[in-house]
Amino acid sequence: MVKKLLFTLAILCLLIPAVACGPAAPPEIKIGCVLSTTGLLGPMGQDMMDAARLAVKEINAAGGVLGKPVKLVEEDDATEAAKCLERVKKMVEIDGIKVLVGGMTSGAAMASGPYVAGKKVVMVSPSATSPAISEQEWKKWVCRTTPDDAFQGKVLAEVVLEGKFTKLATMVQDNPYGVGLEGALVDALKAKGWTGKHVVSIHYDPAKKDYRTELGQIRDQAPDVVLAVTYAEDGIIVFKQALEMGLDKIAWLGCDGNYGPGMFAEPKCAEFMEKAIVAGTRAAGSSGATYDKFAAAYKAEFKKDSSVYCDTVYDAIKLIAQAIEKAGKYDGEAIEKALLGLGKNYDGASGTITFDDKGDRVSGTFEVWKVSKVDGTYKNVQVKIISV
Amino acid sequence: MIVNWPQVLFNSVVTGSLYLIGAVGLTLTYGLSNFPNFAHAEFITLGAFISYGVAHQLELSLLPALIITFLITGAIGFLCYRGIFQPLARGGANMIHLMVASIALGFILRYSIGAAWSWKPLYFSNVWPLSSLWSHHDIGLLSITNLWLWLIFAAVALSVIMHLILVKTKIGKAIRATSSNPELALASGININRVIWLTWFIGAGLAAIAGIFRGADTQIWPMTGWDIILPVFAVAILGGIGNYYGSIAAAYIIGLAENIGVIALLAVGLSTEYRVGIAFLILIVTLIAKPQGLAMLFRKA
Repeated sequence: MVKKLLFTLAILCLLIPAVACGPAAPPEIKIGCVLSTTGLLGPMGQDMMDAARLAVKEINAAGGVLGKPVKLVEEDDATEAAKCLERVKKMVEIDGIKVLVGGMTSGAAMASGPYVAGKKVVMVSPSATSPAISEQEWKKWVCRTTPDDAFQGKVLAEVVLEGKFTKLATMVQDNPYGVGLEGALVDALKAKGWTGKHVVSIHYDPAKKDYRTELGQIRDQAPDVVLAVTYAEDGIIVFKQALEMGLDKIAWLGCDGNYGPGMFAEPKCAEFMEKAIVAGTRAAGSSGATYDKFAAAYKAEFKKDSSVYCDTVYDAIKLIAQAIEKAGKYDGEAIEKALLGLGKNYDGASGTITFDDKGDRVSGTFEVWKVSKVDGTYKNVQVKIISV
Repeated sequence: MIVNWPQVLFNSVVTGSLYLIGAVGLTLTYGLSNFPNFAHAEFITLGAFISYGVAHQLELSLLPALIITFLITGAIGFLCYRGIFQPLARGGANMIHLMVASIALGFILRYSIGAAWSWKPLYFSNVWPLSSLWSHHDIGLLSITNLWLWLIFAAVALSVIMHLILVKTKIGKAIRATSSNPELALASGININRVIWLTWFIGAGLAAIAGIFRGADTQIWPMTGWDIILPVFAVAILGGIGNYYGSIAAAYIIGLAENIGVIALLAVGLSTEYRVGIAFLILIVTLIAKPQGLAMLFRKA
C-alpha cells in the first residue's frame, strides 16, 4: 500500500513541471537554430552558431523583442539531412518554435521544407544554396539570406571564361548542393556562349573517402579545369588524394563549401589548394560598414575571425527578430509576411538584402578567393569581389 | 571514355588490401565465437586513434607505432571478449544476444572515443609531416604513394604470416580445429578458451592495423571504422565465415568491384555513390549461387 502510494506520488512529481509550463505564455521569445556543428561541416557550423549567439546577444542588449528577451534554441544535425528534419520537429513540437534558422545544407532544407510548411513555421536558411529549392511548392515558408547558387554558378562561369578554359571536369557531392552548383555553372556557361566541352561529371559520396578511381578518371579525360564542390572534411580527402594522383598540374576551382581555415588542418590538402586552386568562390565577403561592424564584434566576442556564412546567419537572426517585432505576435503566418516586407534594401552584414516574392535574394555579392602561404601558414586571400 | 586500367587495377588492390586486413579478424572471431562482432568497427577506430596517440607522444615512425598499436588493441579485444562476450555466452546468450551486445559495445566505444578525443578529424600527416609515406611517384601510367605500397605490403605479409601460423603451428591447427568442430577439438585436448582468447587478440590487433592505414589514407575520427565496416562485413561473408583463404579472395573481389563499379557508373552517368551497391550485388549473387561463400573453393585448405 505504502509502496503504491509512493509510486503514485513519484509519478505526480514527474508531471508537475509539465503542467507548470504548459499553455502559459512563454516568458521569452524563442528562435530556433539548427546547424551542423558536428559531422562533415562541423568546423563551419560551429563558427556559424557563434554568429547566431552574437546576434541574439546584441538583440537582448538592445531590449529584446516585444519587450521580452530572445532565447536561441540551438540544435545540431550532424550534417545529416534526415537529422535536421528530426531536430526541426523537436523544436516545433516540444519547444513550440514558430520561426527558426536552419537547413544549413540544401539537402537539410529540402528535407525540412515540407514539414515546416505543413506546420506554418518559418524557416530561414543562411546557407542552403541549391537552385532546386526555389522551385518547391513549400518555398513560401523557407526564406534564404544566402544568394542562390544560380548566382555562384555565374561567377564561376566568369572565372572559366576569363581563364579561357575549354575542357571542364566536375567532381561534386551527390546531393542538391553539389549537383545544383554543377548545373548552375554549366547553365551559366551555356548562356554565355562557352564553346568548350564538359568532359566528365562525377557525383561522389561524401562519406566514402576513397576517391582514387574517380580522380583517376578525371586525369584520364585530360580536362584543363576541374570544379570541386565539397564540404570541408570530404574536400580535404579529395584534395589530398588529388595531390597523390598528380592532379595538381590542372587548374581547380573551389567554392563556398571548401572555403575556410578548416581545410588547412591537413598539410597535403593545404599544399594542393595553394598549388592547384586558381579560383574559388563564396557568397558575401561583403565590405560594407555593417559587415565591418559585425566582423569586429565577432572577433571581440569569440577571439577568432568570422568565416563563410557567419554573416548570413547573423542577418537571418536579426531579420527574424525585427519581423517578430513588426508582426507584433509570435505567429508563423504573420512573421512570414513581415519578413518579406523587411527584405527590401535591408542593410545586412552580408550586403544589401532584397527578397523576391519567394523570399530569395535578388542579387548576390561573391568573393573570388585563392589560397596563399604567408609566413608558413596557409590563408584564404581575396582576389576580387563580383556582384551579380 | 578513356580509362587507365592499370591505375584502376592498382586502386582495386589498395582498396582490397585494406578490406582484407580489416576483415581477417572479423571472420576468424565470427567463425570461432559464432556471432558477428559489430564492435569490430571500433577496434579499427581504436587502432587509428591509439597509433596516432603513440606516434604523436613518443615520436614513433610507422612500423613501431604499428606494433605497439597491434599489441594494445589486441589486449583491448581480448578484454572485451573475456569481460563481456564470454560471460554472456556462458550465461546462455545465443547469437542474437551476443550480436546486440556487440552493437552496444560498439556504440559505447565509439562515443567514448568521441568524448575522449573529440569529433574533429585528425590527420597522420601532421604527426609525420616529413615522412616519405606521402611522397608520390609516377611509374608509367600509375600514380603511387609509399603509403599505398606499405598497405599492399602489409596485406601480403599478413597473408603469408597467417598462412604459416594456420598451417604450420600448433596454435594455428588448434584455431582451425576449434573453428570447424569445437566439441571434437575439446575432446582431443585443445584448450578452446585459450584458442578463442588468442584469436580475439589477433583479430582486434589486425583491425587496428587496418585502422592505421585507413586513418593515414583518409582521416582519423570516431567513425573511421564505421565508415568501412559494411565492405569489411561483405568480405567476411563473401569469403565464408571463419574461412581465412576465402576472405583473401573476397577482399580483392570487393575491391575490384568497387573500383570497376566507379568506371561503370560514370560510363552510364550515375553517381559513384552506388559503388558499394555494386559490391553488395556481387555478394548477393554469390550467396544465392553458393550460400557458403567462397569457402567452398578452399575446402582442401
